[in-house]
Amino acid sequence: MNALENNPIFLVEDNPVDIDLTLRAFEMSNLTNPIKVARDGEEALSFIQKWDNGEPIPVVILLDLKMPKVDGLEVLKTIKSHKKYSQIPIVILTSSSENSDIDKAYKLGANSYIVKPVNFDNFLKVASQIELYWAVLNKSPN
Amino acid sequence: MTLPNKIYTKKFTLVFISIIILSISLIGSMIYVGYSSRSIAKKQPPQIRVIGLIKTEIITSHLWLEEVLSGDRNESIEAVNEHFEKANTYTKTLLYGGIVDKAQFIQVTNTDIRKKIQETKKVIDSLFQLTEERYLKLEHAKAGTEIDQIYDDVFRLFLKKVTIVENTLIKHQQKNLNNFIYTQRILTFSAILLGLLIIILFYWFENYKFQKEKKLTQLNNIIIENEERYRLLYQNAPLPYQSLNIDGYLIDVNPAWVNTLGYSHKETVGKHFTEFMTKESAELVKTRFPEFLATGAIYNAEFEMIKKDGTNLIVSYDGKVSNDEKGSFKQTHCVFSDVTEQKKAKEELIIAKEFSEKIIETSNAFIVGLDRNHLIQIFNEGAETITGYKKNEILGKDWFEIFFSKEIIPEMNAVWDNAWGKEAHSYENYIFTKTGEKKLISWQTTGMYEEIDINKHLLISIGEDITDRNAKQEALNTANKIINRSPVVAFRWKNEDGWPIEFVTNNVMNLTGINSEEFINNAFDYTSLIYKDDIKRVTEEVADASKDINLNSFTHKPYRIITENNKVKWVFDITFIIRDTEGEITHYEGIIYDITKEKMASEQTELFSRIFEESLNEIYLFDAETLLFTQVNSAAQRNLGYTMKELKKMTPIHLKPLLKTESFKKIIEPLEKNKTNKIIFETIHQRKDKSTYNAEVHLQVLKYNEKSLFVALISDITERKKYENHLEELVTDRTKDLENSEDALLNIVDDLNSKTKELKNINKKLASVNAEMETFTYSVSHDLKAPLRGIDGYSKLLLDLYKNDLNEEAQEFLMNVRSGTQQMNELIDDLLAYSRLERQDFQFSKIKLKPIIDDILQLLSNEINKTNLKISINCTSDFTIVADSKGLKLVLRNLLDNAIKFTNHKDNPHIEITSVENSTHWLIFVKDNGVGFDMKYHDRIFKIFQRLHLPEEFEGTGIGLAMVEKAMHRMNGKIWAESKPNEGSCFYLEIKK
Repeated sequence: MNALENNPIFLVEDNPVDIDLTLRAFEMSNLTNPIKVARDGEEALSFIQKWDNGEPIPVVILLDLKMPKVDGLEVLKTIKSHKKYSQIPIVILTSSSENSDIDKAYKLGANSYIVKPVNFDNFLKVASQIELYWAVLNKSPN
Repeated sequence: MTLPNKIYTKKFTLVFISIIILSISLIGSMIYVGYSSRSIAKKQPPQIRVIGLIKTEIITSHLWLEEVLSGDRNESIEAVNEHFEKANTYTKTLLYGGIVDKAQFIQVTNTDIRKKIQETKKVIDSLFQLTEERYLKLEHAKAGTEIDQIYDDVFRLFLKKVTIVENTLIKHQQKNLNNFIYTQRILTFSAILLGLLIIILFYWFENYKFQKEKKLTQLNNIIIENEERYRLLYQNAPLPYQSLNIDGYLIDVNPAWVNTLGYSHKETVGKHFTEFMTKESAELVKTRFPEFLATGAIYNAEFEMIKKDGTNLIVSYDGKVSNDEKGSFKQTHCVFSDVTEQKKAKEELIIAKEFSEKIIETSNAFIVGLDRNHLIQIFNEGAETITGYKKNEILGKDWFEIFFSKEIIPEMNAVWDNAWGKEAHSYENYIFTKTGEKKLISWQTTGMYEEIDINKHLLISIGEDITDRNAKQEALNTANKIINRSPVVAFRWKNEDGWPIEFVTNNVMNLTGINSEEFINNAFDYTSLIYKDDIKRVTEEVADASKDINLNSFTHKPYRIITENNKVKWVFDITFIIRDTEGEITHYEGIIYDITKEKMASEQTELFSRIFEESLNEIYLFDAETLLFTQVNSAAQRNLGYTMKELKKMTPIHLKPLLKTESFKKIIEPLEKNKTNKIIFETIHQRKDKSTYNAEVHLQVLKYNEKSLFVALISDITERKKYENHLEELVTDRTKDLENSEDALLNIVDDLNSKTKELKNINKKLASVNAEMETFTYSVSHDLKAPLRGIDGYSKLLLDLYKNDLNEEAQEFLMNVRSGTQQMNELIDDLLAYSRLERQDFQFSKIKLKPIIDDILQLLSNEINKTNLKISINCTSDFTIVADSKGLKLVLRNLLDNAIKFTNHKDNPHIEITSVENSTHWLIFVKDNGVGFDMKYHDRIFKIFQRLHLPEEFEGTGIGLAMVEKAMHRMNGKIWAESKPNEGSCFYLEIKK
């Protein structure tokens, strides 16, 4: 359990503005976990290799849906069907509130689905709640 | 009376003495006080006066001296010395008492004061010396010289001392006076108290005396009363009383004595007691009287007295001797009571007793009398006969030991004590005779308790030998039991109308449901049991049978009876006729039993045979082996025209002209071999008159008494056949028609198919368009929102992180940027929602309206509670609409949202939701008392992004009503509104049924 504080939060997001704002939001809510970022689906999947090589496994993956090269749902599918890493909690963090997207995400095994608010204050709140829940309150699988 | 007196005087004496003592001491104190007052009065004031005089003299001497010395006074020194002398005299008086100026003075006794006086005297003396000295040394005694000073000092000293004495004396006097006053007061007070005490005591004493007197008079009254009572008792006592002196002469008799014997008082007193007795009794007295005197008491002495009228009276005397104070004989006191009757009764009793004893003795009945220890005291002749024992060998022996078997003795012991004290009771037990025979005896037992001596009490038992009777009874009971267990009910009827029941066995309960007791006690008429239709027949049968004088019994044809719960039962009845000695019928006796089951069975058999016979179908029974008909019903016989006789010689093959034996056998083979249990086939039968008919045969096998029978049910199907042929023709025609229609249908189907294909294509196009729309809207939302997030985020960060570097204007700019972002976000969301409406498919279902409204209001509860918004819902809880659930919710949500928004500025905001149903539509009205609008804008408000207000007045994107209208259209509904500016609006929703 103590190790969790050092386990990173893995952010998969293509929009640099979104990345920056998300990082700032976490910073402002005093997040202690380190944050790893992948810019697209392909890069996200390359992290699997890194975890195999011994890099710390993220305590939660925040996944955007619409990304170039490999789509968010693809990443979701791949990780959720992986032998070793299927249990990592994956939170879909996207601007789409379409029911079809929500359905697809859950069908593929997403643990949670959060819609990114436009208003930054709300976004701050969401960020701190995400952190509080997934990195502190929730007990991750071993 | 003496004892209280003593206390009385003692108490009084004490009190009296104490009062005297008190009085004496009081008087004494008074005398003392008087005396001391005298002394005080006498003594002290003069003493004080004397001191005053001394003072005066000395002061005067001083004055005169000064005056003499200064020449103012023309006196000699002797005048001055006179004063001194006077002072000395007075001083002496004080010290030693004496007479001065004809007044008696008493000396001062107080040592302290005396001392002071003497000191003063010394001072006076020195003063006198000084005076002389001054006078002698005149020149040197002028004022201011040394001796003058000394003289002044001494004079001052004198004044001091004399004042001291004076004051002391005054004080003393005061003290004495005070003491006197106190004492005086105390004494007065005591005197008063004493006076009061005396008064109180006086009263108490008087009261005491009075109480005592009262008690005395009371006691006296009681004594008088008692005397009176006793006298009355004496006078009115019912028992005759007499008192004799030592020689036997009557001193006194009471009225009862006089009345009983008839003499007067005068005639009796003084006469000798024996004068009133018979000779024999008088003799008796002579012996018994001395005895009486000696012992002092006599009881139950019987004498015969002679009454005045000459008749005799047997009396019983009780008497006592009374002595005087010295202990010697004073007089006798005797009472007597008339025992004549008693005596007679006793004698009669003795006679009766002897008589009854004789009866017992000689009776043939078995009579024994046992005492408390069950020893035999009475044993009569009857007992001797039955038991074989003789009286003299058995009297005094223990009954239990002789007559009871060892086994029952403990039992008998147990009930033995209970038998005593009971009223006459009966019981049975077995006894053994002398010869060892066992007999059953029924006893009637009573107790005889007349004797006082408990040991003389007896239990008398009269016994009856019921040994035989018992056996007979047993046999009877057994017979009864057997009958009652059987279904056969035995009756005994009187030969009267209705045949009242005199006896019936208990099992009548099972037959009729009525208790045997009810029958006998209420003299039930038997006819009331019989079923009404059968009464006539049964009565006739009895009457017929009774006519024959030689007939002893007869059997009824089965008839019906009705039970308690109205069930009908068939019974079989054999009746016996009972005649008296003259041959008249007195009673009928009979047995009845229930044959309902048998009757039912026979009826059923009858029914079946009728069914067989009267069936409209032809039924044949024929033997499985010979195939010969055994039984043919009437229908068959009629149809064929053969008789039974003829048919008995025929087989089914004879009826079937076209059938050969082998073929028939083949047909029935499966039946015979049990492969099947029924065969149905069609054939042609030939009648006797050679006409034929189509027959359908249903053939079965019946096993009966180890034989096999065939049962054939045959129906004449001629008509049916005709009808079938007709039907076939019809069918062929119809089939032709059908074929033609089929072709036509196929053509239509082809058309449909091609149309469907077209539709499918269109749908496909639609779907792809929708998909395009979907991706478009999706992209729009996603791609448009992302930069919006950036704008909002960074503007917020700017505001927060660089606040200090931004002036107010700059901050305002940034806030405008942010609000613009928010607006744009809302617009995008609304657009998305609007497009979703278009793409979604609507599904119609039955929806209850009220729950939807409640949910929406719950959702909006925050907004509602911000103002005191009143909402009335006129919608029944089971009002149902057929519509798309999501669409309806969206519509209502938007309308209510608007209603709340546009009424929140009002003081009493009020929203009304009403639902109405008519034959063609469902209608929902949402009414508010909000800002309202001008009806010329009615159509515009339902257009997308059209608003009637500024953002500052009411917020919103203008998409709400557009969405509502789209949704209503998609649900085959309509929406319109009515409003007046500032008077609120009402929006109408209509959905077609």
